[in-house]
Amino acid sequence: MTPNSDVEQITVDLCRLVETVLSKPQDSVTAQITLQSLGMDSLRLVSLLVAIEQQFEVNLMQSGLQREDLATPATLASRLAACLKS
Amino acid sequence: MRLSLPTSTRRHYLTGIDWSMGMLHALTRWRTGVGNQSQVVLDLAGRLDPDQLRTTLQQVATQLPLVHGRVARDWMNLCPYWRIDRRRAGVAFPLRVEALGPEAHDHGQRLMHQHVNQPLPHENMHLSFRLVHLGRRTTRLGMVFDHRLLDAAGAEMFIDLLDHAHRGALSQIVGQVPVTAPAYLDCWKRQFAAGRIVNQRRLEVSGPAVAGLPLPPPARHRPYHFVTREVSHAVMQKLTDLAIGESGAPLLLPSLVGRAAAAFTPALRDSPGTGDQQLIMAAVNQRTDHAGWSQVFFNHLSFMAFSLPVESGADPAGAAKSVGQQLLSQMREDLPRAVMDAAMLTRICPHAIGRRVACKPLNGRMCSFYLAVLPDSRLSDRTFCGLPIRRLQHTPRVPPPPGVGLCLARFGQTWNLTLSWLDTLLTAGEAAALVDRFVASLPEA
Repeated sequence: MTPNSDVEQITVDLCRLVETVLSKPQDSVTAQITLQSLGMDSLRLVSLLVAIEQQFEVNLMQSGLQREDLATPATLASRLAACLKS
Repeated sequence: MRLSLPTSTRRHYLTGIDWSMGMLHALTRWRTGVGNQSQVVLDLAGRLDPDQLRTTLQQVATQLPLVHGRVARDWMNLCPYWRIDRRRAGVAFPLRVEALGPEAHDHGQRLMHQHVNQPLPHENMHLSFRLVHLGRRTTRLGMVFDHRLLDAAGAEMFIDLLDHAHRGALSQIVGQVPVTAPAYLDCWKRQFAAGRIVNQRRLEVSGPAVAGLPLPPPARHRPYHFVTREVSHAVMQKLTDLAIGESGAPLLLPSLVGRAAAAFTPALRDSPGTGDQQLIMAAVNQRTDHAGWSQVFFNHLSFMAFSLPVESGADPAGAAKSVGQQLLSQMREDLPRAVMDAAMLTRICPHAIGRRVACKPLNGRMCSFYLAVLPDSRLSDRTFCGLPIRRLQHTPRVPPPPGVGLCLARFGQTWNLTLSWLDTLLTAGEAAALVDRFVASLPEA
């Protein structure tokens, strides 16, 4: 897989995780939708980070996460891909 | 052969958290003479007509008889439930109206503080209202609510429901409010597994002695006092940005817990017989987004506990980092869900016994203080009965122990901060200094 297709696959996986954490209908979360508009509060964000940790085995809280990384599933996927690469 | 316990489909059985709230009600009433009740205060721009409000309240009391229920036990399956007495449908909520001058804001505030400390008139009455007119241009409305019926977010939703009723939309909501709930007599394995997780967490925090303010002896009437402040949303956003450096993610809760612990440090350090750690209990909302009006009534929350050294005041950022790690570890084992499931097992225990048992661990100190954060207002509109809402303030009576807590609730671009404490735990000067320390520890916008 190329790096781009890696990020695309991670984005798709993240969209599904966000749907699970926020109890949203299947395929309702897209790559560019803002997490804030989906009602992502502190606690749910931690739930998402835990779900990411379980699926990808990466602790994002210890990886220098920035506010802009959490804007959309796409930005979070880019950050996650970078963490996985390093 | 599978054992099947009888369960009624016509009763609203209580969850474990609802039962725990009942236990806290018994505990608070024993210690202070008044049950576990709190208040939401609205400042309205304009004069709210009392007759108009009375009509709205009457409609709600008639169409939602649930509001006049009381706790009972089903002697077939031993589960507690909310008994709705339909003969009481339409019984009016207490509403007291007062008129003050336009400058009497402090007096109006005192009346609201008196209101929340007054007992509700009847075991079936769970709401009480007080309307204070400050001249012709301002109205202050206080709604005291019993935590067995509503939690803090539910109280805001109920105010929203009253506004809908005022606009003639109550009938659309009534059908969405469930009158029954199952007895939750399944999933025993999950409940016992949850109990193990909760007990493990309890053991983890029960090592060092918990610091706390010394509780006064039980009294027939012991009031709570309140200090309130306003903080702009821009400050909270700045704190969220700072949180990235402190806890590793833009999470408000760890940074708020860290700063609250720092603000409490001098009071706890000077307290006689104090312990080595601060144990902070935080209430977390467990409502689902799509549940809507079905989750107005009863308690849809859970609890998390964070422990910090008493001297954490010296390093609020370090405290936030530690709380962030504890938050992550508690979410890994889904502690909020475990607390809710484990609480189901306590429903068998009568409140009279439960209130004694609850105070046994941790040397009789459940925690050092409570922290409640309401990051989103539950009001769908920024008006009430046609009048713009200028401010929304929560004045919670924190059950003793610990009898003291901080509440932060956002309304629009303002966060309202309330420190509540049981009489004698703090002096007015100590409380004001504590709030000043907390506000001073927040970043500038």
